[in-house]
Amino acid sequence: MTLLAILYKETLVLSRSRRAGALILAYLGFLSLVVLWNWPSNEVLTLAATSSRKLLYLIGIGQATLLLAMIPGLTAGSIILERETGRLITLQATHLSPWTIVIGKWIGSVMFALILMLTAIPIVMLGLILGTMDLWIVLKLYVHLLITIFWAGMTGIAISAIAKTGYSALMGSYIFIIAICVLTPVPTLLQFGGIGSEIARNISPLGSMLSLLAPDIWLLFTEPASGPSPLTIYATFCLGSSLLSVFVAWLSLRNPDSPTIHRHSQLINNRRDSWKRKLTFPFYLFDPQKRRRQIPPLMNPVFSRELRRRMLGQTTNFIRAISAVVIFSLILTLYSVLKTVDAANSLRIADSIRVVVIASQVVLLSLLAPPLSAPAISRERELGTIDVLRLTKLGPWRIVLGNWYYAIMVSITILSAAFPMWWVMKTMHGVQIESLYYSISVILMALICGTLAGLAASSLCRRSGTAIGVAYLFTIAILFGPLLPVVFSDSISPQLESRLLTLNPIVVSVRNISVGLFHNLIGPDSWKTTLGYLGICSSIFISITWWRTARLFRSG
Amino acid sequence: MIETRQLSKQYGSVTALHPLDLEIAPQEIFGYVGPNGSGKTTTIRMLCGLLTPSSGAATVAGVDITTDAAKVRSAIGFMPDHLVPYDGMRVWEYLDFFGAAYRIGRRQRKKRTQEVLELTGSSALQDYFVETLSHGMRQRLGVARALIHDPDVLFLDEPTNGLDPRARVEMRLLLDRLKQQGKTILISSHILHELALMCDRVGFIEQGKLLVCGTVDTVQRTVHPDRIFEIEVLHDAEAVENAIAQILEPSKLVSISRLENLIRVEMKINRSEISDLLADLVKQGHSIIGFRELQADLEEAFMALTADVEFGTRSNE
Repeated sequence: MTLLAILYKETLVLSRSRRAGALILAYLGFLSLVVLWNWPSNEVLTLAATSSRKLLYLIGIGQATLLLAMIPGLTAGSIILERETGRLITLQATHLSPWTIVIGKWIGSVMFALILMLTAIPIVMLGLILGTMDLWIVLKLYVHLLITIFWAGMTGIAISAIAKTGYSALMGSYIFIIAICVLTPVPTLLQFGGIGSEIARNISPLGSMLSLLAPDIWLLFTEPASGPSPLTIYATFCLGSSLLSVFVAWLSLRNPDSPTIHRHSQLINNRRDSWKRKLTFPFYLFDPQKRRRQIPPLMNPVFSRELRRRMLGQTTNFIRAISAVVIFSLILTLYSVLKTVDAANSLRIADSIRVVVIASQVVLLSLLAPPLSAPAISRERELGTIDVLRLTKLGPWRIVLGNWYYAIMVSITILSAAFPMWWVMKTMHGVQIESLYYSISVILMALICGTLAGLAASSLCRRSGTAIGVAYLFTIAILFGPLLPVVFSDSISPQLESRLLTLNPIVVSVRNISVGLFHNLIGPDSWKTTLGYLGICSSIFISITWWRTARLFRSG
Repeated sequence: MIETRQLSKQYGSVTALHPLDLEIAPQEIFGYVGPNGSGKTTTIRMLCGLLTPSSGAATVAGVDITTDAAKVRSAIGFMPDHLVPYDGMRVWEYLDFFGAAYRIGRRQRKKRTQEVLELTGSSALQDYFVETLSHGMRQRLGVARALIHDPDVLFLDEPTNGLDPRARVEMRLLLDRLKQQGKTILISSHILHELALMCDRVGFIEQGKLLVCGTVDTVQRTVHPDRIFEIEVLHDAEAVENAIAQILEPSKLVSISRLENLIRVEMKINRSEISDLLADLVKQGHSIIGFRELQADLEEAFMALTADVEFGTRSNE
């Protein structure tokens, strides 16, 4: 009964928001476009399996991607926001048990995602008109989506329960879910064979979806391995992970005290103490306790503020992020050194490593850039500080630029921690140093585009959570959208396929520094086209940001 | 210092503020009173140049808000009702940021930061992280932030909201100090007895309409034009009661009541007649030990003025 009360409240609040209607429209609009794009154009309904299968791939991958992009936004704030606003204590004061709150929040949050999934069924059914679509596969697809929704929702709830701020919950949820999606297939991409690699890639929602719909794709990278079915592996992982998440959230809610951020008013003001702290664990390179100087005259005050608040004020998180990138790049370096010793396969292995290095850089920046820049304007609106800033002499342009400088600086600092990977590339057989520079310039441009996408989302959305979700969608669409021809090459002409691939930073960077990959599809100067494409996208994003922010400053 | 002429704001079919005429003199503390959603914040936001008026005109510190909103913004200090300070920053860093945002030079900014911290009694808090401050401290920090560029006019939206009694008294003393420094302050609140203590004049607004405006005394007189006095006598209160009834003409005596040695009289008389009444009572040999006028409560005045307003018909702010 109490569970129903929580569920009713959550569903009611969500269904009354304007955001819900907009999301349903966007979701159905995307899926309808997919169907329209794949509809046979020769006025004859084909009985060939390819058309219906392509449609199924797109609907499956498309729905999974959209749902995974939305669910953290729906769930990550559910407990921490209640805690921050003091409403959680009122829930805890009632007869509701921690268990009821967790489950109620969970089902309430994913209810909307379930509604989205169900509203798309008529569009999937349209695909059946094309014929030869296997109903059994469709059912498996929906079971997979259902599992994905519940797993991602519970992950978001657990992170929300243990997070210290709404922002960290949101960022943590997105990073965790995207990391599971894209990092677990890495062993397969690095051509590790065997059951371990198969299990790892099927842990990924997108990896297992591909295994389910198009198992042949993985055979491009690895030998077939016998073991449990992809859906079984995925379902087992999701079940275990969700149970763990329920336990973590329950444990956190049992304690009525909210987790607090350690902030010490103590100030390290002398050089000796400051150095002492630098030389002892955790080696404060950027000491949050140290007195900082005034904002210099020529420095953008917003940039300086963000630097103090988010980088220097939360040094531990920043150092953790850098450490994770350094460790990952060192592992990759070690692996590539060991693997390329085998001369027979060295070229093939080297190209695989290049793909992983470039893809991991782009994935890293697509993970980093949106949450860094997306709260820029929306957070000011949430805090109520936008009006106060409007009264100052800063102006919209300096506020936007200050936030952007910060996002760029942090992203580049973290990306530069991946230096060992670039060193590996430089020492690999068949790489010219100019090509390496071209790849780096493409990745930097992609970084600029990703951070600007975050700013545009921030200026469009009133809430930071929505802004981060929209920024991720923008970034994923720009950085990974032009990769679709790799999977669905038979549905478009070779010219269009080549043009689309030319726009993708991963493909172009890999083409520049690999010996044989994508050389038959795109030309050596394609990096210029990519830079142009990313430049146009960046211009669109900066225009949207400028227009919206200036408008906000004028009229409020 | 602040002047509005037929200033109004319309949101579609909803009128948030009906044409408003208001004048606030330099160094005046003006209390803007009204329930939630009555149009207080809308007025303040328009006067700060943050919201474009639908019609009418206004000047703040001599600058027209409709033609030169940008200039108005830098001439005023504004403390919104709901402002969450940036976390992860120390108090002085927070003020330093806003100083830099107003393009104050480094030396001047350092000096000004110390001044506002001192003025608001927050010097001891300068190295605290803002998220560790209590609500009262945050409100003081909010005032310090609004003062960082030394504006002549201050707009404070609900500055005493949620403060404990001690913090309220401190806030009142702070506003007094600011007034002495020559600042003009418009303060909105719905805590009426606080406003009665700190404001020179008050204005009541409800459903976007200014109902009454003037000194606290004038506003109280609007509701209670008769003067109410309490007279305390040593003994024989009945005799004093009869004497008052004889001295005053029946048309001037509204009501008289007695409780032990305390007599409460409601009269329609001016100041000199009050003096005459007291002199007559003493001349007749009555032992008067207390004679004081009861001030009508501002809350009472507000309730009386807004008695006709139906609940649920308020316009959106």
